[in-house]
Amino acid sequence: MCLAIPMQIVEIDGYNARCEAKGQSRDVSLFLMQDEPLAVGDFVMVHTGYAQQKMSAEDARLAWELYDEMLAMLEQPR
Amino acid sequence: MSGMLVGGLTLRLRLRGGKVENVEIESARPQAAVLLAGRTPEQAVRLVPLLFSLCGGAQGVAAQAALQAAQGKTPDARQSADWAATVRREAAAEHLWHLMLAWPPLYGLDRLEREYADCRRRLQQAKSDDEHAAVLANILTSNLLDMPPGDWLHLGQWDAWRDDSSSLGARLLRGAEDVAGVHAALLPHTTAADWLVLERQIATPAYCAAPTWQGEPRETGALARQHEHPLVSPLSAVGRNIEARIAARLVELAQWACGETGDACDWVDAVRCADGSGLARVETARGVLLHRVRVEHGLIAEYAAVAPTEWNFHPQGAYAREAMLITASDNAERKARMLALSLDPCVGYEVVLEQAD
Repeated sequence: MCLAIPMQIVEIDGYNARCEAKGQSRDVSLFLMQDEPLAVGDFVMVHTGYAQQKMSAEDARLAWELYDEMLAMLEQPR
Repeated sequence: MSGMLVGGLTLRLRLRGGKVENVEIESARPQAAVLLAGRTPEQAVRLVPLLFSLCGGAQGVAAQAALQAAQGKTPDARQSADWAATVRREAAAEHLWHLMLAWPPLYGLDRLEREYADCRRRLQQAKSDDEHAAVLANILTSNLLDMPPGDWLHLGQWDAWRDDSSSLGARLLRGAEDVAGVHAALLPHTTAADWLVLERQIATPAYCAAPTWQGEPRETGALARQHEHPLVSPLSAVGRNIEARIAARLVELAQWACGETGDACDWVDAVRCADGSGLARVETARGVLLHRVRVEHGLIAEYAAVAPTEWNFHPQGAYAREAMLITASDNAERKARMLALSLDPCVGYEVVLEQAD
C-alpha cells in the first residue's frame, strides 16, 4: 500500500536527477520540489518517477531496513 | 531491482472470442504493517509514514489514533481538528495529482507539471484552513473548472458545462471511455465503531489482503462518498463509473474549497476494542484506511492495516467486475488502463492483455 522508495541523488541536471538505491539507478524528476534546495548525496522519496519529499539519511536507512524485511517476507514460500 | 517492485500490482485480462473471460489481479504487496510488531509505539509512529509514504500523513494519523485508542486515550478537539486537517490537505493534494498529472497522458494531453508544482507549493504554504480553502478555490478555477468552485457546485446544468467547457475537468469527463452497465457496489459511510464486528478479522493477513463488508468486496473512495451528489449519481446510475469517479473527485475538491469539509470525526476516529487493541478509521483520498494495533507490555504485539487499494483491487472487487465487461472491439487496453486509473491504486501497476484464442 502507498509505497514510495527512498533513493539517493547521485547526479542533478536541471529538474532531472539520477538516483540510486540498492545499487540500481533511476531517472527521477525533481520538478515537484523546485522550492527545496537539493544536492547530490541527498535522499528523496520517489513515487512514479517524481521525487516527492526530501528525507534524512537516517530515515532513508530506516525505511530501507523495513523494505529489506518486506523483501525477505516476499521471498518466503507462501 | 526487486525492491522497486515491492507493492506492485499486475492486472491481467484474458480475452477469448472478443470478450474478457478472466481478470486476474496479482499483488506483490506484503502485509508491511506486520513489520511493526515488537517495536515500541513511538517507533511505530515514526516508521509508519516512512513505510507508507505516499499517503504518509493519513497513515501517520491512523497510527497515532489507533495507538491512543489502545492506550484508552481520547483525542481532544484540537488534536482531532489537527488530524482531520492533515488528512484533508493530503487528500486534496492527492486528488490534484490524480487529475493534473495522472489522467492527462491517457488523453494524449501533457501533464500539468508546472501548474501542479505551483499548486503543491501554495497549498503547503497555507497557514490556516481558510487560507488552504482559498488557495484550493483559486487552483480549481484556474486549472480544472474554469469557474469558481462555488459557482460550479451550484450549476445544476453540468451536462452543458461538461460538453462545452475547455477546462481540464470537463475534458477529463468527456474523454472517459466507460465500460457501461454495472452498478458499483459501494462501501457505505462508516465510523470506527462500525468495524468492531470485524475487529478479529481485521487482525488477520487474509482479511487485510482481500477485505469485505457484509461478506462482499466493496468500492471505497470518492465515488463511494459522493455517489448521491447530483452530478455524480446520474453517471453511476447508468454504470458510467469511470466518469463518475472523476466527477466525484472534482465535487470533493470543490466542496473543500468552499469550506464544506464536514466534522473532524468524518475524517478520523478510533475506538478501543474489547481486547484492548485500538482500531482507527481514516478517510483518505482513495478511501477508507483502517489501522488496528494491540500493545502488550509497552511493545506492539499485533499491527494490521487495511488500505483502500485492497478494497478496489480485491480479486472480485470493482476492477475485476468492471474489467469483465470490456470487449476486444472497444480498445480494450485503453479501457483497462482508464478503469485502473479511475480506481487509482496507490502502488505501481501494469495492465497485461492476453489472447486466450
